[in-house]
Amino acid sequence: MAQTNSPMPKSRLGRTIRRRLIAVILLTSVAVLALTCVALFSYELITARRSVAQDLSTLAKIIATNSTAALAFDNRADAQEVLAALKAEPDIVAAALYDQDGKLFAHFPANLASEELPATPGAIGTAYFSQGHARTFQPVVQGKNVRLGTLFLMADMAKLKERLRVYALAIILVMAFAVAVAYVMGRALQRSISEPILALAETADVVSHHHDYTVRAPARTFGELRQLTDAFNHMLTRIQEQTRLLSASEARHRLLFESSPLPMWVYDLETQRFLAVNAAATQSYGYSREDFSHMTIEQIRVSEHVVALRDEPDGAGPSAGMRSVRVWKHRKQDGTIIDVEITSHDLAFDGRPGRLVLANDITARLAAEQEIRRLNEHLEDRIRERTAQWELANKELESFSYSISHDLRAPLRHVQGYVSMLNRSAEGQLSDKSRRHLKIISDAAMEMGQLIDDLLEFSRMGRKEMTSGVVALDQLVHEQVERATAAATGREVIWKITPLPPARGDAAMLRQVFANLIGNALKYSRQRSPAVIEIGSTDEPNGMVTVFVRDNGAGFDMKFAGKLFGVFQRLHHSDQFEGTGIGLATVQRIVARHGGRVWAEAAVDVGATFFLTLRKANAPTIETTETT
Amino acid sequence: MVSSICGFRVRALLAGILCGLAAAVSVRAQSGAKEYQVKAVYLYNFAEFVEWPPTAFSGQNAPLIIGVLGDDPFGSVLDETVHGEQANGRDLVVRRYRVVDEIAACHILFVSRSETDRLAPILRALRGRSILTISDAADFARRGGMVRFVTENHRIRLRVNLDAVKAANLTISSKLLRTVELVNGSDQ
Repeated sequence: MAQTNSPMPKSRLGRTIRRRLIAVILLTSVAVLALTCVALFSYELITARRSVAQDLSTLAKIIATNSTAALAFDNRADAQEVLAALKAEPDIVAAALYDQDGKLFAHFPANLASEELPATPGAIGTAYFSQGHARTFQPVVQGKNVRLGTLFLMADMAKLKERLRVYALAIILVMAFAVAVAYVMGRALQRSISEPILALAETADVVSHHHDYTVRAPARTFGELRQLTDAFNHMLTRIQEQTRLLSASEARHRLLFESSPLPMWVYDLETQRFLAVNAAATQSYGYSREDFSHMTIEQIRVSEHVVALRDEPDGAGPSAGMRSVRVWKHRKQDGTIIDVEITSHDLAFDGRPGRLVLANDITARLAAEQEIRRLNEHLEDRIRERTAQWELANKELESFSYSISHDLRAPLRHVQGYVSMLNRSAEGQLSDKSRRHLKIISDAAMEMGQLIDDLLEFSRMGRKEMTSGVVALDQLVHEQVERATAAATGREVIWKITPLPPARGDAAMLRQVFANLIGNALKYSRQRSPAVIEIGSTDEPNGMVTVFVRDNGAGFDMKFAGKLFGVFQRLHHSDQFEGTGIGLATVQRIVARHGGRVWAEAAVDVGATFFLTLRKANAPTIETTETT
Repeated sequence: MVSSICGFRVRALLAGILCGLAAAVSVRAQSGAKEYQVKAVYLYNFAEFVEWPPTAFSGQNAPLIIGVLGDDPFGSVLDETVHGEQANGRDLVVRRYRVVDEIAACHILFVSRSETDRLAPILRALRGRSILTISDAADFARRGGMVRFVTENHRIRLRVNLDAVKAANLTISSKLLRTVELVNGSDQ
């Protein structure tokens, strides 16, 4: 098949190069021979003419010498006789003697009409050629310088012509023989040039038609042809190597293409036909490779998309490179419509403008996403609903507790006022028992007032506007320690305070936190002597700092740790340790509003440690979620 | 003075008369003059076609002498023809003799017709000497002379007595001999 496409069949190339070489040899030989023969012939012609002229002059001299007496003594018969001797020279066609005065004296042959001879003698000189004859005029001289007359001789050139004809024939024969010899030698010699070239051509033929790069041209010659053969073989080696690399690379790419878990194919941008599909595509779409090879891309597209694609402005453009990811609907062999995410890349495939397509079936994912979206929307609705309910309830509770606290204070002040008035006015009249009762009433009212204040404070803490600044924790802690020490005179307390980093937050609120924690530590360690209270911090990785306050007091059972920060929650009886059960709830609320956390570790009769995390002052501010 | 003028006129008149006479003589003698003109050339030509023995010349540069015996029929023609010419490297000199005894060195001798009657003693006197004898006298060759000019059909032919030539130890060019008529002459 490939042979018929060959522009120059090997045999014809062989014939051509052989013929050309032989032709070159022959033409060169013929040209050299022809030039040589022309030169020889010219030389021969010139020589022959010169020889004819020489002969004619010699003959003329002889005749002239013989004619002297005839002219000197005016004897025409004798002159005629002398000239008649020329019969022996077949070349001489005419001769004439002219006397001293230039008058025709005698001529030869005798029957020649005198008109055919020159009327007067011409210039003396060597023989000259005209009209196919050689002519000469020879002076007839007696002695040294006595000019007696002139002799005219005219010779036929037939002999010369015959001689040249023989010569030409010989030349032609020699040339024919030489050409024949050149042809035979040329045929033999051209092989040394043509055979390596033909071998090269044969190798090139094999390479180009069978794509076999393993063949090598035989290197049988030397010189430039050997160089050419070697270069050709070297080129073949290079091509072989590159072909191997290329096919290896192609195999790798084919493997990548074939083994891709996602369906991939290449289709022709002009005819829309599939040019290549991978295994995943056949599995995914249900068509065999054979089916795909007869299909166009439009057959797997859902019809409305087919129209849309045709109108796509950059759909048929030659724009190369990655195209944006799009979602399309495709139809599988069984008619199922699937959603696919298409990533495509324009490329030249086997010389055709093609597009590599990566199809990711996202039908299931889209369904799941849709479900999640639906659920999310539902959930958000519920959250919003609940939050609204909770917020309403919270507000009601807040306003309720505030109003209660506030409204409770008025009657309580009445109670305290009147107890105080009663004590003053009826102090002397009251029995000890009555006075004790009054004292209990007064203390209870005071406790209740304290409770109400704390509640109000706690409630305010939830609503209060919070400022954010750099708080020097060291200074703040020292103030609180001093205040607490002043209130606990007579107690032996060992303070172990390590420096604290500045924190970010609301100084007033944090002051309240530490007032609570330090107060608690002193309160619950009152039965210890000495009481040991440690305050320190540890850095946390994310810009936070954990501050702890540790005491060696009563501690608590860790199983109640969950109740520790609840409002009105108390782990100790108020007979043992006074308190409203609101302090730690307030601490927790403040720390929570600062974006931190608070917790405690404790053991009964060993002590308790309270931890809280705060944002360090030099750390970047992060918006904290405000809990109400 | 008068005499000198007269003398001039006389001389001019004489010159005119002489010129007229000369012209009359030349016209009358035209055919005869033409004939001797050719003969003079022939005499001269003989110098080229005849070889003399070396002893005939007194030296290498000795002239070739053409002599005329008896009445000179050539007038000045012979002198004019020969004047300034050479033959075989020798100058040509013309001498005139009245009697045969006057002939000393001579190579070509033209015997005038005036000597026709004295031919026998003349030839006898010249015998043994290398002198080419030429004459236009009747039967000159037959009578022992060497070359005779014969006029035939207004052409001058040569008749040669080769025996006489050989006897004089002379050689005539074969080319010349081709043109002549050979005769046998009896010596007396």
